[in-house]
Amino acid sequence: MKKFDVIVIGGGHAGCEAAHAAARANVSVALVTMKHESIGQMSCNPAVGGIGKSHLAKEVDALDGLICKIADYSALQRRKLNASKGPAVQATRIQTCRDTYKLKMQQAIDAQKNLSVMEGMVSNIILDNEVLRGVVMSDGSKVFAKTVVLTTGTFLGGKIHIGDKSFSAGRLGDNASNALENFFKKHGFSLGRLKTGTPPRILKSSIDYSLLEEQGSDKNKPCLSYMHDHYGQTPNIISEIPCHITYTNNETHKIIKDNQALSPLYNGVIDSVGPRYCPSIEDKVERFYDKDAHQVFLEPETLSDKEIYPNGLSTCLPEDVQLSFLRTIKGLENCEITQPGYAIEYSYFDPRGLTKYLETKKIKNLFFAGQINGTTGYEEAAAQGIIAGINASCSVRNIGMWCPNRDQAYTGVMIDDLVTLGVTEPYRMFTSRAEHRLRLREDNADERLTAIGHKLGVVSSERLLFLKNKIKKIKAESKRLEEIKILPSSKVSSILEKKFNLKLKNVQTMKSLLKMSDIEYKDIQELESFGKTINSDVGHLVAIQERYEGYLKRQDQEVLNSLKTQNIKIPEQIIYNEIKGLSNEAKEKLSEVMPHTLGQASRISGVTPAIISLLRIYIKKHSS
Amino acid sequence: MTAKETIAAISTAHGKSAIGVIRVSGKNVLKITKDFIGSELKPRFATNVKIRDKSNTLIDDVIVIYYKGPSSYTGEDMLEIQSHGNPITMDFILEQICDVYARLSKPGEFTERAFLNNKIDLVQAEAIADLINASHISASKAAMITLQGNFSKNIKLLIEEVLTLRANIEACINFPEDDSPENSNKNNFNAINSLIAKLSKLIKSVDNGIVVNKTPIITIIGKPNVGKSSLANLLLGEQGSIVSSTPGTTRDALHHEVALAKNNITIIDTAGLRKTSDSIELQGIEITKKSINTASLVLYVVDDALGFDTEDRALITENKINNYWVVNNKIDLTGADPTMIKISNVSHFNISTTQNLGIDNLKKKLSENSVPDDETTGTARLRHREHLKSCLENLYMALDCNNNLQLELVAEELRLAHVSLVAIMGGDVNEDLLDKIFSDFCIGK
Ligand SMILES: Cc1cc2nc3c(=O)[nH]c(=O)nc-3n(C[C@H](O)[C@H](O)[C@H](O)COP(=O)(O)OP(=O)(O)OC[C@H]3O[C@@H](n4cnc5c(N)ncnc54)[C@H](O)[C@@H]3O)c2cc1C
Ligand SMILES: Nc1nc2c(ncn2[C@@H]2O[C@H](COP(=O)(O)OP(=O)(O)O)[C@@H](O)[C@H]2O)c(=O)[nH]1
Ligand SMILES: [Mg+2]
Repeated sequence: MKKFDVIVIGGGHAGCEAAHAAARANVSVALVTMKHESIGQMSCNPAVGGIGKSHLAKEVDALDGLICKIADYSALQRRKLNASKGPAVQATRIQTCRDTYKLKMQQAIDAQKNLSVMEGMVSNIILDNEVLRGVVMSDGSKVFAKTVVLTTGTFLGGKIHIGDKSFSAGRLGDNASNALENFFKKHGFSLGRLKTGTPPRILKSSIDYSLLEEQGSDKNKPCLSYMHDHYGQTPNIISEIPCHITYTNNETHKIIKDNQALSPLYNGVIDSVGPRYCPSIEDKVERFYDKDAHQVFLEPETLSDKEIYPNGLSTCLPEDVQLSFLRTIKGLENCEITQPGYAIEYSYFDPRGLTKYLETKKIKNLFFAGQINGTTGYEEAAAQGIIAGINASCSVRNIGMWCPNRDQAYTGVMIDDLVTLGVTEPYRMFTSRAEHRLRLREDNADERLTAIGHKLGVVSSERLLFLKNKIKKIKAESKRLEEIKILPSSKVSSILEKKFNLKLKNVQTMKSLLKMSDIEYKDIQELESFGKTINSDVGHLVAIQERYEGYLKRQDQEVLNSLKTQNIKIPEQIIYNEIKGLSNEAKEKLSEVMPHTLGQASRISGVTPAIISLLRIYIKKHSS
Repeated sequence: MTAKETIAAISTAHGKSAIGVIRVSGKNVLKITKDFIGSELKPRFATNVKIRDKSNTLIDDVIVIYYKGPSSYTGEDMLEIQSHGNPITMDFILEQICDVYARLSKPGEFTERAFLNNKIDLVQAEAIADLINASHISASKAAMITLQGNFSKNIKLLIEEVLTLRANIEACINFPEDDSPENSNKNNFNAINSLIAKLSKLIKSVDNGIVVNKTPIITIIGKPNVGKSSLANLLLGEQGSIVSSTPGTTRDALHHEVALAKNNITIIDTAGLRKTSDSIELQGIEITKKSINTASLVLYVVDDALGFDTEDRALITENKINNYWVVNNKIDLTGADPTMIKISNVSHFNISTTQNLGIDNLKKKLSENSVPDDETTGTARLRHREHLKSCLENLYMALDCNNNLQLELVAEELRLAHVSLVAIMGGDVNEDLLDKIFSDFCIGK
């Protein structure tokens, strides 16, 4: 009989992190997935990171997860976004080789101790008097475990649409998981439908690049993992392949408009909601009809570089229409399609059925992570995966579960949004969702999370040491700069006046110069009294801290103030129906979400300040 | 308790008026229409109903309108009975309803239900509370303007403008590789400045609104024994403070609210002002001085036989009293004419409290004076003002950061400004922003 502590169903981005994290925490793990060869497969564009997303990915990395390291090792292009807009909103984006990514991920999974991969399709969950016991495979065999993490992505009830063709599938080339869906329907889980789409892939040799604009890596080629950027060596880019940019035109738009009725998005076949930030080209042409051109990025997909991903052209028009509109685009006049674009509808679970530890409220020891919770994106999936994996292992080890707060991590923002608000469209991270954006930066996810991860058992001691080292260096440089004084009458002072129009009135420290918006670390490095630098990477981090110090202090105060109300615990046995004065709508919503704290309650849509003060009074009255 | 009780109240002012309205709200409304009125009613149609007592005598001929929830003021089933405004018939009808089907409502309870059922927003609910507590007609008018959503409308416009700017900046931050909109330092500067101008104007009108909602305070001062307490009592229509012929009897400042014509005013009777060594009396004089500071108008009383002398003038200048009327009392003894005159911009009244001479004239002028100048501003509460002020602060900070080319800090200040406005009106800071971004810009690859 096969017996484990944790079973993870699904070897996608959520599943890999969940399984690997639990195994790092020293419990025995089975990763059950359809095919070993598709572990770590990127269903869509093979890029990791981007604004908001790299923030999530780096948090996974800070907990010693896989996504950043694997992306760094399989990079075709590495870029820093928003480089001119301030460190808090800067982000890293890596275009990877899809094949290398998958391969490296499989190697990492195979190499991990306590972790075994089992191929096969899970068709049922074993419940024994309401107690979770394990899973049943489609061949009828059983695997037993104390906890189960479900990460089946778009596979539950997946249905693909291309023109008037539609068929059941998890993604193109993979079977959907319909048997498993029945289990959840039977047990009263609340399921919804969402949709997403992908563009056609184009044969590279059929593209004429001669007239297209090229976009290469940045000069400094940033990495995603702290192991590579802050703690050690930067791996080389496996092979530098540039992107190209082209545009749609009025002729393209005319073909798309004329054939609108053939798109299942417009003829009523698909009525589930897709992501607004990832619209199909049909949608863009319809909604922004006054635009003469839409940007298209021609991105490499693999090292072998045979297929091109035309980013911006997601569609589910019939294949012949796809080809004819593609051929109106500059550079694509003679292009060939290797795989048509398609839309996929799939089932997801209302994430309000989860606790913030990603455990289902209905069945203890059952966890959900990834796209089945209504999110989209590899990073979103990975961040949930690592939290679910950690918590499944906590449950096995009988220690307290954990989820970061909103002021601690983007992961905390995302999970709080999901379990409190639910979703109405596929949920993607944006930095604007984080009210603590200035604190939750790419440069400090390790400072925020690594020590906690070490306590939870998922971060190695070696890794913790790297972090301590980094912090020590920052502190030392910060102290050093604070001790260098600049007198108003000094030569340095006159240079400052000449270069930055900065008139010193009294003695300043070298460090305080970094507060000025136009002075960077490299500028003060050139000053005579600067002395000997330790490492300009560290200096850059000191400068970032200095830039936001005032803001973070103010926010700390706000957090402290709001914490008093925010952190008031709502007793679990509260019965909202008994609270006088609550509207029925509020009663319903609160009973559904069952928030842990007043802070969480206040974020439920429709819960007004008046309702919160009612609740506060009620809790106060009933706690004594 | 889960199901809400049915409530009823007379909702027009007590006293004689042409029409009186009784309102009933709650789940028993249907029963009332069936049993008590005797017929089923079509929603929102006026029906004529004859009300009879037990002995079948006709009590009143009324008009009844049934509002089906949730399309009613409170969001529940409601009944409106318009009777002929006679307090006795109205009480009779109300009693009949409350005997079996409902209970008398508490003040503001209809509004509270409307608020809890999401029929009105917080601002409107607070305005209604202001209306109930409004101290004079002008304040009630101000409350009405808020209620009709003038203030809400202004805030909504401000939110819309903040959102537009935020959507632009956030789109640039979050989607730098897409066809995101143009964002220039100069555009931000103009947009923030326009917000600051509008917000400052709104804050000013809110400040006026807060002043409007205060009852005017009238303080009576003067030397001892000139008749201050007697005047106060006359104005109050009751024995408010102690009248005595021993100088210095009124030691505390006594506050009294009183309705003059249609306006409420507060009258403060004070101890006399004079040089003394009595410690208790000195205390009284201290309090008098304080109440001078809070007064919107001072009535300076003198004994007409003695006249307004140099000591009086000294007391006025010493205490920095600039808005005052002189009241010459005890004209029954001097025979002066009970009329008002103006001497170098200060009004002088001749009265006798014992003979009730010149009092009506004084009351009339007081009531006119108690109406504040600005009758147009919406009432807003201190809570609103606080949010508006912190919003303004954030906008100024945003301007600063914009000058320093720190876009992510501009964004942070604007977020906080947005949060403040939403705290007044309600709304969802994050979702509204994303809605705006995706409807305004073609984002997404
Ligand atoms: C067509 C398409 C287009 C997309 N477009 C975008 C986009 O434009 N932008 C974006 O950010 N994201 C996009 N995504 C989303 C992104 O690919 C997913 O969010 C991410 O991969 C989710 O990770 P996951 O781990 O939750 O699930 P997945 O990566 O889907 O992994 C699910 C895994 O579960 C396994 N599995 C399923 N059922 C069973 C079962 N019963 N038994 C055993 N194993 C099972 C599968 O084999 C698979 O390995 C797209 C996805 C698809 C399919
Ligand atoms: N004859 C006359 N006596 C008055 C008049 N008003 C007040 N008095 C008397 O003056 C005395 C002092 O009055 P009081 O109101 O206590 O004066 P206060 O000390 O200023 O408050 C009392 O004996 C009153 O009866 C008035 O108009 N005519
Ligand atoms: Mg007196």
